[in-house]
Amino acid sequence: MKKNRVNWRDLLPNPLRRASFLIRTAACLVPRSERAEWRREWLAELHFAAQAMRERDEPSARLVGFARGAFQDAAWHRLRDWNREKVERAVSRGAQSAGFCLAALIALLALIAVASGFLPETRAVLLPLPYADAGRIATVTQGGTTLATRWGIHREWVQWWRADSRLIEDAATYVWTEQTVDGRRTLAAKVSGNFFALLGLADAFSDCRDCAVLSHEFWRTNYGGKTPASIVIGTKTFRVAGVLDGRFWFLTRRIGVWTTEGPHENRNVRTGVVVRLRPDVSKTQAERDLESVVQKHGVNQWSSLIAISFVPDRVRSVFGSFALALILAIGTILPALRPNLSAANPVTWRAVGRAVFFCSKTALLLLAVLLAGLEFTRAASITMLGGTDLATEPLSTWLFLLGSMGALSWSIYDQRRRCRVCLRRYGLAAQIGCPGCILLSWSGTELVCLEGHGTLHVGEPVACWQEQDRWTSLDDSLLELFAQSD
Amino acid sequence: MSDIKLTHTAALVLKVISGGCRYGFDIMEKTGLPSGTVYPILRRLEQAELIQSKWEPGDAQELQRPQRRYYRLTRAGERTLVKAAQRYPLLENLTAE
Repeated sequence: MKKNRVNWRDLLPNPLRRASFLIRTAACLVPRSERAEWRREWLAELHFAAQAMRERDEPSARLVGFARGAFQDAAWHRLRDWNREKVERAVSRGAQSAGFCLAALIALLALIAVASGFLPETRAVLLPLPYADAGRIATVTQGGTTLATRWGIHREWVQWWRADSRLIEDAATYVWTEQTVDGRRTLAAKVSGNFFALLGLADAFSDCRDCAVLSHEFWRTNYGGKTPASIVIGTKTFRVAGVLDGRFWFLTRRIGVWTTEGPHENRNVRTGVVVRLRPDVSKTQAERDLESVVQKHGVNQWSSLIAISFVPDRVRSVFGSFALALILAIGTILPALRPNLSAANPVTWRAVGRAVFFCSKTALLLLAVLLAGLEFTRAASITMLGGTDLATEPLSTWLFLLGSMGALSWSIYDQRRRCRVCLRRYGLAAQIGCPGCILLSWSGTELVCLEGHGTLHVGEPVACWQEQDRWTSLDDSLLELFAQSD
Repeated sequence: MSDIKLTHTAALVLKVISGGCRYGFDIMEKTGLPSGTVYPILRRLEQAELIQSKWEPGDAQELQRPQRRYYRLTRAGERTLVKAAQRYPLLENLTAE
């Protein structure tokens, strides 16, 4: 049975109605005082245009094109009196508003997102790790009493664990070094044959020795999305077995190429080890189990200390650094807030509005600091042994700390320079008084709310008898002094 | 007012108004310019007092159609058009038909 097809154009109103709708919409742009006459003229013109087209048998769809011109005409009406001075005044007035402040911060976040390529590091840290049952994946190191004593594992220990441990399902080795791959410097990882299977991925190498797998990002940026038949790592040529999924990464996103270990690797060389624990096995149980296996093979107790780090915990530890930096920053900045906190201000809707604005502004700023820290430093990177990168983490923690302090300080400073009523930035700064005459007098800067809500007195030499910032509300009768000329 | 220098398009609109086209759609038809160009030009010319506009007398109900808004040249407009014609000699050809 043939279906009657409905043309979506039939569902639209006829062109005359659409044109009329466009004209009425454009009328919203015209200043209110001229709107009625403007609409009357355009609708009359539309009537005569429709009549002329009907007489000439022209398609009535042209009416819509005719009506689109109404927007240009309406825009002319709206903008005809605008000159440079008026534009500058409007911009400077807009820039003082609370909305502009929040919009600028959102624009800053968008800028960070665009500059970083849409937050790859943040997404990697926040999204679930791309391994099957990632909560059971952990790295294993020797030592572990302090960060400084973290060592790689002897390769032969891994064989013992795979054979004798009851609490791990499997163990794989990995090591990465900086290499030249087809003339470009990148990290090249060498992993054991069971590495990808342990992480729950299809075996990328398929028993292919002298094969390499490219990370998605390296493949995209260096080969323009075309897979080469072979690549040269250092001086050795490898056949390219494939490209990893775009979401896959392991400890650091800087690894560009993955190859497999040869059958004759040195058994005594230390290497990174990743294990998949059996379900419901705790960190401590697994550590004791692995230590006992090693001790069974004659390694003394001190040398067999094992530390296990769950990969998801390590990856998200960057948030711990940021939280620590934030707490330190708040602790440092809090004394500056004391005069305001101690003032017993009644809770009003205005006070709630001010608090909401302050919290939103500060949260956006801190988010910008966090995102910039994650994307533009190597804060989220983890060392080959699954530990803290001593070269980058202290630096990134300091940067977080300084960034958070800067953000909080600016946020408080900006809040104090805003009107208590309309939250606009004050203007018309004027120097008042004589800096030398401090006996029962004061000197400082006086700022005025441009809407006429009040004045802020900022004393410069701090006197014990005087509040540092003093706000004076203006009487409503003074508001007309601040009325806008336009 | 006599110092106003018109763009070629504005001069063309002024020329067709002087030639007898008196309302927006008619000017569009004569010049071939789109509505988004013609109407803003009419506003600018009126603001510069080169043309004047007025509503068609009568009542829409009596006329059985909407009233039109008619435009006509002012004296200043006529003088400016003479100067524009000297500046754009081909203007005459564009509106000759």
